[in-house]
Amino acid sequence: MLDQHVRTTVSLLGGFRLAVGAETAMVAPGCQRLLAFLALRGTCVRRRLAAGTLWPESSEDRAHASLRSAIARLQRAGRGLVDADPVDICLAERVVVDLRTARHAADSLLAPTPRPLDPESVRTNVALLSRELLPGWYEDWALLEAENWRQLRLHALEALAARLVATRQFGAAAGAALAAVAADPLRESAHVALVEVHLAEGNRSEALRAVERYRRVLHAELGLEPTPHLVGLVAGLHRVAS
Amino acid sequence: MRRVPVGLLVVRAWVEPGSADPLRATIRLTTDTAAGFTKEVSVSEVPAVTEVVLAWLEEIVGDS
Repeated sequence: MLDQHVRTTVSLLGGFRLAVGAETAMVAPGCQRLLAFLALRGTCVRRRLAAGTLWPESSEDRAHASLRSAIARLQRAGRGLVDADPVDICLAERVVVDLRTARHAADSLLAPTPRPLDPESVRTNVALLSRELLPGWYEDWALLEAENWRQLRLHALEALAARLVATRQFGAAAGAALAAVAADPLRESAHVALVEVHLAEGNRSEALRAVERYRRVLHAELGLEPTPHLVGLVAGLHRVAS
Repeated sequence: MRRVPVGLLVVRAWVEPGSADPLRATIRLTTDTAAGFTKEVSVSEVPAVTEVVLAWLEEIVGDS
């Protein structure tokens, strides 16, 4: 039977996982999709919408039957994960969703007056913001959310790197900038963030190397050169560095 | 029942400010989602995007 005091978490970042306390709970694929969909929506949804979205290739009757089956399986498991009535279905309020925590962290980082950061929250933020949303899921509703999350986390990582530079926490700043580069190696603003970390630290040769690495990647992938803005950041350093 | 493979192609396109060739497009594709994405390419010109899309569609038709 459900223990209301046990923390239940639906994780969507880095892959789907349902955890009850510290234990991973096994969930059938249809139930995983339902939990992930509800976790992404963050609000109650009409059963009709859930059925049509999650089982788009089935007839309406069959999609509703699949939804009823998924709800019944989750309720039989006694975990109290979903609240369902004849019209709506919701993720139970007490269920923690890692994406909500991560989005909150990203929004805080992008706020005009962000809150102070301690080293532990920096580590947690970088770890959360480094993870893809539901990698390997190809449903339309998941792909769109994954791309939205990617954009948000890239902006947040770059903002985090800039804030850490401002407080002279260069190691953590480089970590955040590198996470942004890893998330999208062709996006120039991430490389700019990294170069700015190196320059702020007075590490000119690293800044030059970072530009050179990006130049090679861009040339190999697209046959293009970095923009004058990025090149300008290290212009004049060659003679000094050599 | 025979499973019918479903192809998927996702183009993520953005504009890189300040670049003389500002379009960036990363294309991930597969001819069967059960296998996951099998190819990822990056291009910077519109005709290159359409070329990848056409080749992918032709592969799907050829596989049927």
